[in-house]
Amino acid sequence: MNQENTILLVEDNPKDVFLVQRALRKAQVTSPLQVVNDGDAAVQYLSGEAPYSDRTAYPLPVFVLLDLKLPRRSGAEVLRWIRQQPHLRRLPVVVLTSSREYADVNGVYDLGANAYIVKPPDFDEFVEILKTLNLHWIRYNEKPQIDSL
Amino acid sequence: MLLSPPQIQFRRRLTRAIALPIVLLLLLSGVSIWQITRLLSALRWVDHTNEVISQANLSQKLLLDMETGLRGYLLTGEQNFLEPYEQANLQIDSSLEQLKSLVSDNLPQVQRVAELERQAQQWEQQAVPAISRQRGASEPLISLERRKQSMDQMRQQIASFIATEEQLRNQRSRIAQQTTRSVIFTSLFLAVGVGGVLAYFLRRQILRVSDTYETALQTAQVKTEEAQQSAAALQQYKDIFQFAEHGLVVGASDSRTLTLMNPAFARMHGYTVAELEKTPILNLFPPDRHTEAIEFVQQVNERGYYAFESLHCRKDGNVFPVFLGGTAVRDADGNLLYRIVSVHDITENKQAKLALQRSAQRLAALHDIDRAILASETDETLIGNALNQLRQIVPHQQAFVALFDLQAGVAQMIAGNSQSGELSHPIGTQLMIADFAPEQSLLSGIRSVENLTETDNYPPVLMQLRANGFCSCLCVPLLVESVLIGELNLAAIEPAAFNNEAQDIAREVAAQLAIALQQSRLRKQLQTYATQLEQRVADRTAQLAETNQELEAFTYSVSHDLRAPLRTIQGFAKALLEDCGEHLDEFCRSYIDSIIDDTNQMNGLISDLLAYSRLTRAQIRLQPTALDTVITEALSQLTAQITERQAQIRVVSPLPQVIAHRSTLIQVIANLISNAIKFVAPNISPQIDIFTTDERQDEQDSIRLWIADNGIGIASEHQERVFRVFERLHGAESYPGTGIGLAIVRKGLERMGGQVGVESQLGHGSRFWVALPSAVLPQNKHTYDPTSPNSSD
Repeated sequence: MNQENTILLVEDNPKDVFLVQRALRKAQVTSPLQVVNDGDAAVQYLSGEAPYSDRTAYPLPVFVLLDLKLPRRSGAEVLRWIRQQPHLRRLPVVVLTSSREYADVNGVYDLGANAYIVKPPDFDEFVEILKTLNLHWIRYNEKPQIDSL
Repeated sequence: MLLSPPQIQFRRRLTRAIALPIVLLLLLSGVSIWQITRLLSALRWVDHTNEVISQANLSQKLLLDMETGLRGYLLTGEQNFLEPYEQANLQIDSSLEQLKSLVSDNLPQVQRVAELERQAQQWEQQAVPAISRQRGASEPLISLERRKQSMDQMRQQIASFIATEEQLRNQRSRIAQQTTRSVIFTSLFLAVGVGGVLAYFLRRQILRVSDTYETALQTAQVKTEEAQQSAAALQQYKDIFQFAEHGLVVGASDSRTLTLMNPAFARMHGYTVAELEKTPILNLFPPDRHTEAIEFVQQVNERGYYAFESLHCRKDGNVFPVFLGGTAVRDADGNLLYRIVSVHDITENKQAKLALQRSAQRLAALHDIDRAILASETDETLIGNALNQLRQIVPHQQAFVALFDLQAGVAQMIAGNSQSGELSHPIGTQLMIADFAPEQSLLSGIRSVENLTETDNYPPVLMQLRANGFCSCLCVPLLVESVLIGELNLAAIEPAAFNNEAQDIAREVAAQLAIALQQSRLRKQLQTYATQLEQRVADRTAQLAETNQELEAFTYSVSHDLRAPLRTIQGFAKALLEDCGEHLDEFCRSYIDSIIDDTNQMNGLISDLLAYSRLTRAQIRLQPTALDTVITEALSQLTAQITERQAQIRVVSPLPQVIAHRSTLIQVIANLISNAIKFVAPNISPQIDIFTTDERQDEQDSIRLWIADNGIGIASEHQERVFRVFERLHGAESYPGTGIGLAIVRKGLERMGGQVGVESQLGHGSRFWVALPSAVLPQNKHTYDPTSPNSSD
């Protein structure tokens, strides 16, 4: 597996997780997917705290797919935390959410989101989106330097 | 001594007038003397020549005598005949010598004389032998002839000599005559010339002198007139002094008594002029003004002019105010000659000034009271300030204000001040209104009691004043629009302390005070209302904000939470279809398809609801928007639908600009076009016309955008209903939809200040319109659009 291109999915709904995994498969994205189910877990993962202290098993992702509505710590809070970490602040974060409310969109851009994608009701469309994300962030995009702690 | 130029000129003129004739006469005399000398000289030459001629004649006669005597002797031999010869012989030499000296200046004549002398000697030599011969002895003829020859030569010689001299004499006489003539002519000519020059010169001088004399005469005349005028002016000055209604007094520099004054001055002081003469000046001043009077005189002396106000005494002893203006008059060397003092009786001025001062003071005081009232915050300070100011214009020892509550019949002491520090009724004391006065007299206006000790029939408040030692008082009602709200009370220890003026002022202050108190009450009331209102608005706003927040949270949840399961339902349904579709029957697959359809339908519904609610809440900013691009954008959103239904859409471009919110307008128009495509009878391809018309309503230009279709139309009774939320006219089978599209259209136009409507007939298509304000300014028809072709050129 290509550990360098790990994608971190922060999503609490297991069904959505399943659909993301399925869509990635259908989109023929080969990058490994790491999943955490709440905001705190996302912070732990990214900061390398237990139980994610093993960077081989849990490498720093090439980008984060972040849902906004999360238990414990919301997606917006996770994003703000990431942007406050000196070694993580350049990490690309793609917000993936059901909400299209203007306040949300502007708010997360203000916090430093790199993209904002509304989960489409149509699965096939979702597959297309993941293909695009793969092409954009993994294939073509020049990655920033993310320092490991 | 220096002379003035005219004097110098006059002297020069005089000198010339004397000197010129003298010089001319001297010249004339000189010339005359010279001429006479010349004449005398000429005459002398004539005489001289005559003398020469007579001398020559004498010599000739001598020669003749000699010859005659000799001849007689020779003839007779008688001695006495020889006598003439001897006498002539003695004289001839000297005679010839004399002749020679006379013509010494004429050389030819001298030679002639010399020749003559030689011949005479020769002749004599011949004569001597003849004489010595003895008488009777005859003489040889030859010697006789020789003698005769010699005598003839001498005679000829003398004759030619005389002829020459005569010629000379004639010539000289002629010269003398000519000289005489020239002397006469020259003298005549000179006399005439000098006479003419002198006549001309004298005439000129005389004319000049006469001019000068005339000028002097005129000057003298003018001076006389001036003297007359100044005499008249002097009389005028005297009259001014005598008749002026203005006290004037003149004092000698060293005098301390009145010497010269006009009648007005004496009259002013109640005296006659005679009575005041020799009176010491200081007698006119009251004793306490003597110092300043002396000071005044010194100031006048020092400054030249000095004025000041003082007091003077009349004959009857009365003192009156005067204005003194003193002027020191000095001669050219600065020595003080005398002082002039003008004296005005300024009694009236003083009174007018005092009245004016009092009036100004009163105005200022009232103004101060007004200011104090305006500056005060509470009723107590307001009244307190007003009373403090009032004390400065109306003297009194105590003042207070009581406010009445007419309904309860009670009065309360609100504020006051007292010279003794204690009020007759302390502040805060509650009294009955009836204690102030019987009710009917309370309203009747200002009440002044001149002497509280006159009777015992006073209401309790006044009795209390009397008990506190006050003798007079003034009770002024405080009235607001004829409603009694209180009373202002002024009290004084002395009787009748409040005159009419004091009452007027008190009335004015009371009126102001009443208005201020009323205003203060109204202001308080208004403040209370405003505070209440503000509170209520704040409460409502908070409530609204809360509700709004709740609503937002609700819609957020709807969008998130209702959609999430819907998406997974669809996702799993599709997964089911893809992963297990092969194992399912056709009808089972159709079940899954309908699940997917319904999730799509549900998703559309949620989207529309969210759009509607967002439109309700979102802040939108209106700006000029080009309808052309809005239509293009809306059509591009509908591409799939248009292609599917093969709709023909004609847009009459260019379309104008309107004032709108761009994305909302796109949504509105997309909804309308979508409906126009959708609600068409089956098998008919949709035909849609989009165009605008101009409108003017309520003084504003607006644009009406029409979307006309060939659809199924709407019955007139349903035309209003279609714009309501969830209102649908058709079943989902024939025309599926959420029933929110037109509600969104109407809401969107409401938010943009526009309108929407429809003209339709069942079966004959519909014409939906939206009206929005035009972005073109009515005055100049320029658009706001900076990208328009005109502005980009």
